[in-house]
Amino acid sequence: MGWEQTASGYAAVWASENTREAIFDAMKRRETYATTGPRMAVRFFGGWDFEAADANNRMPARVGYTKGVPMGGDLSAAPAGRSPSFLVAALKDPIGANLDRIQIIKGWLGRDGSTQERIYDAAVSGSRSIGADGRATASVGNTVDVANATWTNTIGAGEMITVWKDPEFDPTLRAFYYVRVIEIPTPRWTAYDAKYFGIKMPPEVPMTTTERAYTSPIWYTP
Amino acid sequence: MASLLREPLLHFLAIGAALYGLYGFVGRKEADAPGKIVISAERVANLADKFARTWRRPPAEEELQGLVEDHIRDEVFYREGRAAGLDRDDAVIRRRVRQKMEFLAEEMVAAEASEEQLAAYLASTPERFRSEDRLTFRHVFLSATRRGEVLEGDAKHIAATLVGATTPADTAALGDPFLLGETFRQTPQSDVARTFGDGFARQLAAVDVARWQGPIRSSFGEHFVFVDERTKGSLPPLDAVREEVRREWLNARRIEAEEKLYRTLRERYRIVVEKPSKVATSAAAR
Repeated sequence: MGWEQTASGYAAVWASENTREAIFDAMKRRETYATTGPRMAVRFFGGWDFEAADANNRMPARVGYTKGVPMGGDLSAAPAGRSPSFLVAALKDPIGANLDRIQIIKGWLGRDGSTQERIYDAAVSGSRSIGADGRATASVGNTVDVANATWTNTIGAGEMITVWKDPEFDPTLRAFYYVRVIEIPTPRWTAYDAKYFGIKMPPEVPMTTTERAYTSPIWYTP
Repeated sequence: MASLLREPLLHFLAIGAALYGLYGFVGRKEADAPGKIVISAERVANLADKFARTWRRPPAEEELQGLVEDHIRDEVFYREGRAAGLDRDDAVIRRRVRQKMEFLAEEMVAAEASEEQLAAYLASTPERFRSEDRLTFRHVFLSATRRGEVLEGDAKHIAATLVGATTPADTAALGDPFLLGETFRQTPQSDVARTFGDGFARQLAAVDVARWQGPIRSSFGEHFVFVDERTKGSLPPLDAVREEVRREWLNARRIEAEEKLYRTLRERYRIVVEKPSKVATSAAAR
């Protein structure tokens, strides 16, 4: 452990029940995600038929499993003229910080064989908007009071759900998509230490951090 | 005689002697002569054995040579180090030796518990094995994120029609989707707290069964709840928790044996603690 590290974290599985068998099955399906510490709940489904209304369904997970594959799953055989669409949802840790945004990271293999990666903002909290380039440039803000190692949940959202469609899909290229859920800024452990022990940290020490969750990818194979 | 046989010190000495005898058998020739190190044939065989267990094959000739050489190096440093008193006042060595003594004490514990002993242990420490309270409930969720300013107004509005109703009712038109679902079956109290927060779980634990109540606030928004069933945690029968009880019982015996041995050994000493004239003690640990 170096001082530059923020935390260890949590690994999560979507298992049908809390038994050894169900948990191993979930890991085998790769239906797993991880966080840097908070107990966020994250859902991620990919398919060809998700539409905006699915984000308002009473049972998001049921729609997800019916219309697509969960995180860790495989997509192939793209219907002609269709782009993959994704249902993605996140719930904050009930005792943790609000959420800033949900991002989908797409990676693909270019025609020249080089690996490419691009970040899209799929959902952002508050009244911010996502630009044509798929990014929301406005920051969520920062409520961290470093001296007292505290923050408030007056910005960000408690939950987010959206349907996102790949705007630049090429059915002939291999690709993967994974989700990153980012919390609003919170005090880093260095800020808690500084307050607890009453010490001053050197200027190069970061005092805030944005905890996050990241899922297994959904893979597209032509 | 029976009480003598149960005497921990006697057991301890017997086990100690047995172990000492065993080591002595292998190491006797090696330990005898100061200024002379003899690596006995048994020791060489023992080294070869250990190697085979790790690598799943016997050592080659040079490998065995290497093992013996390393053992000699060990022995030289060990003897010289002890002669120079390096083992005294060394926290690691002290801890290791203490640990070995504690292992010996644990060896004395009879590993098999009788049915009566397990039942008695379960009865005497019920809080360890009591199962958690479980709740089966459904909720109508009003999302703070979706409703923002109008959340309180909406909650009042729904409260007027829903609260007090004694049927689960069709609530599909009310409220917002909740990522983890609307019904929770036989969910342990601690899971409720982990999902919705402590405050919510405490309030939910107190509401009446079989009628709509709320709103209860969570960190996600407001919830109206209908508790179908509350299953009180209970003390399971021995058959359901036999393994856990056995493990805990054994552990308790271990701790007891260790403590008893320690007391017995400690009685053999007259202990004097001198007070330094000035010592910094803090009022209490933080």
